[in-house]
Amino acid sequence: MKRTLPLVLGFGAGLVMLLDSFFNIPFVNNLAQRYFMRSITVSVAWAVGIGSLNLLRIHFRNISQRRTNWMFSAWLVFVFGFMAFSGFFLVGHNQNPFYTFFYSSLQQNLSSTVYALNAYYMVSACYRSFRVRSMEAGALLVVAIIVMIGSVPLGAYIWGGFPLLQDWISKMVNDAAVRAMSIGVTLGSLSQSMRNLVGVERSYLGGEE
Amino acid sequence: MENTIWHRLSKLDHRIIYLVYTIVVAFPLIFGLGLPLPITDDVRAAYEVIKGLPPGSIMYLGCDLGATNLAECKPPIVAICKFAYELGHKIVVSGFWVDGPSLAYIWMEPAMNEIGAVYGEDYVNLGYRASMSSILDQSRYSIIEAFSDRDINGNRLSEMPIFQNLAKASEFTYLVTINPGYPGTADYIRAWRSTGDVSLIIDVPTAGMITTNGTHLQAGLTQGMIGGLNGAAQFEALIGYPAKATASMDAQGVGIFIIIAFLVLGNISFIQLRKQNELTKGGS
Repeated sequence: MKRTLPLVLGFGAGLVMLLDSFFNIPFVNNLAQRYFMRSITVSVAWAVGIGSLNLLRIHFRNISQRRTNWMFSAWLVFVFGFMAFSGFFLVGHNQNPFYTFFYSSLQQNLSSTVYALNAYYMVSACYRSFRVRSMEAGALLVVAIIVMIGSVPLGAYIWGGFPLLQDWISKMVNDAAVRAMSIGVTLGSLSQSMRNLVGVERSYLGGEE
Repeated sequence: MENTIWHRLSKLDHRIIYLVYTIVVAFPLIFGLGLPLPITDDVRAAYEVIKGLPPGSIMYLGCDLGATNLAECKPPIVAICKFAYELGHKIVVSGFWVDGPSLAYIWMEPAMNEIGAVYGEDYVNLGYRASMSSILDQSRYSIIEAFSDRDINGNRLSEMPIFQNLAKASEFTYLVTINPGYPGTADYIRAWRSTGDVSLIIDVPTAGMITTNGTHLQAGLTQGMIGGLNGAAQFEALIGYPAKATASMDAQGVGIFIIIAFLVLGNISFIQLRKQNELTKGGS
């Protein structure tokens, strides 16, 4: 019963969603939209809350047991609490000056700064790691250079053919490869979904088979 | 043998690389090069689609992005919103990345205030909602119900003028999706295009996603693509509003050439060292 009931529920819910996608049956459409879809929204919203609590639990434990770098955990808990407090309880909520200052002037700028640092790592990695050790690596290097040059105005300024070459590589060679991969992934997801739906794949239930 | 230029180059201090990169990129950022910007077919198609729509059209702007995408995503959001407003279109913003709608709100507000757009009448921000697929699916029947009748600031959607003529997703004239990955374009296609609710989609991916999202454009699932900072700069040029993207393109171009220069230099030193090693082995 412990395994059969979830399997039956899973099959029933999956079937309703499948029928809702392909057929116009008012009862099924209503059931899918009014109940199942809203249930998903509520479940995911709860998951966000549980994720936040779990994050706090892990970091509180780090602090209480004085684990390595526990002070970073303390800082995380402090900032978490501060942002949550200013967003939930101060006047104006997410329009409160404290909240907007820390969000717009710190979080936003720090995130984009850290991301921008990738450019430096890329230059360094290109110089140190990308080595033409084989024909394939050589081909990759040439194509990468053409695509990079063709993507910026400076490339077109040097020679008008670079953007055309880049466009041809992107649209003919790359798109064909990406499409082949995405069709493969989709077929794989489809078969995996069918296995879940009919109960062949049961690992999502947890525990032993 | 150990002191050849190739040995020294192979052990070049990374701080020198960083310094060279900083100086070379800073120059066009500060002074600008003013290089001509060729317009690609993808960006022109996006521009033509938006321009061809009548006043009163409603755009859904999906901002599924994070703060890390500031450089690439802010310029197209601002440019597209300004252009749409000038054409008399209404704008409905949302997103399924936690930061997306909040950032769009922060980035859009100054621009929308500057052009005199009225919140709730000309544009609205629905805020973040968890669970993209279920919200998009519910929006096919009722946007107000799907978004719990609340915008990003907790105001009632049902009381806003923009929602007097907007009930469900099929009433969006077109969709613009700005995203650096998943969830993103493919999810909107699955939720609203494959169901026949929204047939016009303009894709605004970050540069890293152009290669993946190009297949949607080629298959006719999207009608135009404004890819990366380069696409945003081209769009700014088309609408006659040169701004942040245009200013940044010269620096990006020079930055790419520096990367290529180091790439080539690193490989030349690698090949030379290999040759030297082979000679040494042959000699011994």
